[in-house]
Formats: sequence, structure tokens, C-alpha cells
Amino acid sequence: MIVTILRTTILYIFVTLAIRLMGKRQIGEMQPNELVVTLLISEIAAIPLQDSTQPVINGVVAIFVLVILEIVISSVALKSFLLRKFMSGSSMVIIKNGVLDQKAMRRVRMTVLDLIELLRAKDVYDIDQVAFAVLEVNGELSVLLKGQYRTATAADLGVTPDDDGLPLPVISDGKLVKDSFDSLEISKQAVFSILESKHLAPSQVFLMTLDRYGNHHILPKETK
Amino acid sequence: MRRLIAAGILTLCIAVACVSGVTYTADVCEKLEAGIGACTAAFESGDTDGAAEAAAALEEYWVEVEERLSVFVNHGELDNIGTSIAKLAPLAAAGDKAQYLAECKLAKTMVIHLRGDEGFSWHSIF
Repeated sequence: MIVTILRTTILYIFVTLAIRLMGKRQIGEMQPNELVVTLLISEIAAIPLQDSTQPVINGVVAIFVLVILEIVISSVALKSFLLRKFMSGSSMVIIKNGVLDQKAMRRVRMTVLDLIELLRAKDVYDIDQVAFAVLEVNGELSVLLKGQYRTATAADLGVTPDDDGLPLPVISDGKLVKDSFDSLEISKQAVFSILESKHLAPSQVFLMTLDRYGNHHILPKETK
Repeated sequence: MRRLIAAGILTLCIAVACVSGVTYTADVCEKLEAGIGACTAAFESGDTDGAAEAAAALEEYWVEVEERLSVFVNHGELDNIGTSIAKLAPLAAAGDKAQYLAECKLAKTMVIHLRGDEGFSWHSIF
């Protein structure tokens, strides 16, 4: 039992490290090769967990070989269009200038019902509203609506709204978030001044967000 | 760039682990085969006391190396070899030649199999 606990802990640490090494894309939308690597890692990690006669190092080495391959191939693919196309494929335009390309749909083995489902996921319920639809390599459908169906923007209305800064959390659960201060290029004193005006100490704040224009939002901790 | 450097360091660590694992396993297997050979030779020459001593020495060596081997090798295989080696001393003391030689042969076969599995060969890859 203790052996199982220790093996699980060791493999958890190594798998987490492996996923972190491969980068954020593994956690977000995955390319086909990234999906393969993620699936393989989970299968490989399970083997030493289930079979205590297997040395842990076999699983760890296999996982890290996959990580190395993924890092090297993705680094080379950054420079090589051909390799990128081979590993990830390329996007396919399904609807062009409002016209459905049935040949393209057959090539990607997509039925019209699949297309309508993907459009609905993008809040598009009428295929006639679509100017362009591109099936991306990760299976997502990117949609550009025809001009008359697009949401009006400030530019369309001839209005110039004020730019918003990016609000970043500067206090989280009573603790200062140092990275946000560097990004916002503000001092801690500025934050303390705002809190003083609200008669609050940092330790009393659950969440405080601030942007570069000084717009802030404070959520105090609940008192028990 | 940082990830490439991390990949490079990992590659180095894996290479070192693999080389040390294969080298150590090969070295231990060689010594085990020699030890088993000595056990067999002793009994075949009629020296049952010598065979028992050789078996005891082999078992002692096995106990020394088993823990480090278990880092690289399937524990089930190690258990089988250990069980086989452990039988040798009592069989030698009892003078059971046929069974003693059979266990020596079995242990040697398992050690050869172990070396083949852990080393590089097309058979072990496919």
C-alpha cells in the first residue's frame, strides 16, 4: 500500500513536470501530435502504478523521451513549414464567400450536420449568415459572418471609446501578486494608498484588481 | 530556447541512466553466470561441500546486487532469479545432483534472458 502511494506521488510529480515542460498548449487546444503525446503519457504513467513489479524509472524515462521528442519536433516545426504541415495538417476552408465547398467537406470527412453543429457552437444558427468558415487543425471551426450580420463595433458607429487597461489581480487572498506590479509598472504604495482610502489592509482583501489607469475593483474577505 | 535546453539536459540524464543501467546489468549478469558456472563445476566434480559454498557465495552476491538491479529491472524477473539461486545451497547440502543442476541451468537461462532483455537487441525492440 505504501509502495503504491509513493509510486503514485513520484509519477504525479514527474507527469506534472512533463506537462509543464511541454508548455501551455498541452493544456489548451491541442494539435494532433500534442494529443498523441498527452494520451501516451497518461497510459505510460498508469503502467508502473498498476504493476508494482515494473520499475518506476521505466515509466519516467518513457515519459521524458516523449517530452524531449515533443519539444524538439515543435521547435523544429517553428522553422519548418513542411514539418508543421506534416505533423499538424493544415486548415481547410469549408465556406468561402458564403458558398459551401462540398469537396472540402468530403476531404475532411465532415457531414453538413457536423458543420451545422459546429456553427451552433459559435452561436450561428443560419448558415446563410456565414461569409467564411475555416476548419482548423484542432477541429475548431472559425467563422466570419457576412458584414450585415456582424455585431456593430465602435468603429462602425463612428465612436471612439476610451481605451481600457488590462485589469490584473494585485492582491489575491490577502497576498500581494508581485508579477502584476511588474506588468502594471506601479508601486505597492499606490495600492496601499487605495486600500487606505477604503480603510482596508491587504490581509483583509480577497481580491483586488487594478489596471494602468487606476481603475480598481476590491472584494473584501468575508468576516466569519 | 529554455525548453530546448531543458530537453538537452533531460536527454543527457536519460543517456546516463540508460548507459549505467545497461552496463551495471551486464556486469552483474556476467558475474552471476560465472558464479553459476562455478556452482555447476563444483557439483559435477563431486565436491558437494564446495558446491554448497559456491551456492552460498552466489546467494550472498545476489542479495548485494538485487536492490540496485531492481531500479532498472522488472521485479518479477528478479524474484524468479532470486528464488532459483536460493534453492541451490539446500540442494547442494542435500546432495540432490539432478535438481541442483536443473536449478543452476534455470538460473543461468534466466540471467541470460535478463541480459538480453535489458541490452540493445532487435528482439527486445520488436
